Amino acid sequence: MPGAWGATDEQCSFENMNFSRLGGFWIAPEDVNADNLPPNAYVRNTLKNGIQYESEHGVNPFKLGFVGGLDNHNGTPGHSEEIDYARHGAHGLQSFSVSSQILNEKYYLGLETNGGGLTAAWAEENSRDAIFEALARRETFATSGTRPTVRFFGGFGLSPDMCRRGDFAAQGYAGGVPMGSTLEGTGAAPRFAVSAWMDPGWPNHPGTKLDRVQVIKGWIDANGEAQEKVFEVAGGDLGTGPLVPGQKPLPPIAVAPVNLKTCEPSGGGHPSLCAVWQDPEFDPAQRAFYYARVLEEPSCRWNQYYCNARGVDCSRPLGICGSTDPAFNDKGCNSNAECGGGVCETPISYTPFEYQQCCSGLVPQTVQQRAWTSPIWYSPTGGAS
Amino acid sequence: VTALRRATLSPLLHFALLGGVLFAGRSILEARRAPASPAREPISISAERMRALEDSFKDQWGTAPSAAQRKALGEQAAQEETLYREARVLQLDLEDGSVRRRLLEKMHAVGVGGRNEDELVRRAIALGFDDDAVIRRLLAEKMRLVLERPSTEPIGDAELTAYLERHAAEFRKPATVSLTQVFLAEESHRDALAADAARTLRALRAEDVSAERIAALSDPAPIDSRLRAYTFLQLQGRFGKSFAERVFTLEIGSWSEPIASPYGLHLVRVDERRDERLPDLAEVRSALRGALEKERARENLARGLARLRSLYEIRIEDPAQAGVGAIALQAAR
Repeated sequence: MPGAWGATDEQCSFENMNFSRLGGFWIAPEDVNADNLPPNAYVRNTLKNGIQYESEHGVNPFKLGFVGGLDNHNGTPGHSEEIDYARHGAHGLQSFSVSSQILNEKYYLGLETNGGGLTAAWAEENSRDAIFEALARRETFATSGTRPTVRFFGGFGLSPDMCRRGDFAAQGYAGGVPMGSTLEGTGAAPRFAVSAWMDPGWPNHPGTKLDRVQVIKGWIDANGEAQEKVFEVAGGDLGTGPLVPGQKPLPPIAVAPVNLKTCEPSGGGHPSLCAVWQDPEFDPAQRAFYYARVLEEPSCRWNQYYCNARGVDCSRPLGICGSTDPAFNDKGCNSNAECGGGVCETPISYTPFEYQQCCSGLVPQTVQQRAWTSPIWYSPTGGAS
Repeated sequence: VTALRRATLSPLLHFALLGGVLFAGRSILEARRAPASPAREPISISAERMRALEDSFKDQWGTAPSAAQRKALGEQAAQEETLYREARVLQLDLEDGSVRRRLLEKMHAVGVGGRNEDELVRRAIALGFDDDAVIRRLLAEKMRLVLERPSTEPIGDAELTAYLERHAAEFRKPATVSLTQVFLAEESHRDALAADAARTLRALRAEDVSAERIAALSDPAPIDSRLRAYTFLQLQGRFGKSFAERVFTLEIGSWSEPIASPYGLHLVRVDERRDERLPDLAEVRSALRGALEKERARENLARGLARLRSLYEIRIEDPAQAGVGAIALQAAR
């Protein structure tokens, strides 16, 4: 959350629910502060607490793997698509989430909710045992609801050429540890390797390409204070192509924004990204964690699908004047006052409330869907618990 | 003779004879009487109740029930009532922890508490607190479990095989392919992608490639270059529909022409293909056993419900005539 307790990562302020706690009251975005949205509402701060406890007491109680989930009551696990959320809401027909109240930001099933996230586990096979084992060793990643694929390794024996070959995972296991594990310090600086594929989509619904891969580092500094920093490691402004130390990246592709009327992807971005990265500020004496964040290009948030389905066009006024005065008749209008004694008529496909909420800017029309890998922790030699 | 006379005068003999006569008489009387049967009052679903059910249906589904759905609502309500009444006949509420807790909760809700719990439960029942929506649901559910009663019939391989044959469609394993691929990322090759793929394909077809060579020719991917036993839907979910369609037509053992996915081009060698098949018993034994037990429970329940229904006269009123001679729903005691 930028602004709250001094963090600077703007991507951390993502799909926040401005309810101070479950069942609490809605808080206007400008009134959100560290008291009503406490630091531990963010998992990153809990991870930082974990390594801080470890440096003070020798034990990290918060070695958390990442999982994503949805809280829809429709009995449809994994049903996290934005386009479908606009149709079904979280509680199907049994709530008014399918009425225009879903656009009400003050409603707990309203504008600030979304279709929910997903969990992916790197299991050896598609069986219950293998999946639970993967969860237990935290070899997982969470997504905000789409289906990109990402794999993250850290290790002292990882080759800088991992992104030049097809056996990325085999090399990752041979020369390092997968996401969710801990690296014990050797005095040397570890490498981190990340490989990601875009969400392939499904028939008639293409996935959105990737924007960038970042590594988020949290560490305990010499004063015992927890710190955090976001590193760009692939895509984005870095350009394209495998980023390996010493290689100059290709220039970035110019990205057009998503087509808001059709919600079709613009075509910009990366179908796949791969990078081997080394922490330029690595200090072998400092406890740290690293996790990868994969951002997609912007795509329509569910409210945009909803508003499109009702024919709301925010570049045009609310309605058209119906007036006996030809000077006003058929003129675009936002209220009766603009119609010279006539009536500002809203098209039949939407209500004034829907137009107002669709065009209010209370929530964005687009969202950068994303994936977060479980962290890899670094413990200095002899300091591990 | 004296011994015999003495014996016939013995009170012990008289006692035994009288006792025998009384016992025989009672046995005859008992055999004639029909077995003890509790009185079962007719079940009546009132018009008001029907209207409430229809209203709640409308709240839930956003539309009024059809004629068939209305009929089902009435029958469902009658069935719940039947189950509840039979549960009371069997005294399934006796010493039931959940029923007790509910009664105590209700006593506390009306401000009576702090005494001996048994006493509170007795008073709650005396007050009629046990005629309660939650207790009704609890007892109806308990009665269902009684009717389902897990079968004691043994389940052997013969029964499992028969079940598998009856439900083949549910257990059929879809066709799978196992493949090896060389991936060329659009990201790395850009405009040269097609040409690079053609060149790589020539190299692959010219030699007997090792796993090491495949890794060296391929671009990085988060997944392995060997995919084992992927179904059509799994391939489609991962690489797109046209990719899956192409792969399922490939010959085994040779490198394909480049196949496009959202990520780039793939040169694919299908190593093994398994047709759709019915699994062996050993693969699905525990799933079969569970399914068969469930099926038997369902059948037991259906038989039990039919038997219970035959014990009651059931009247379901037409909600259109609400208010006309409506009969309050009354549980048999």
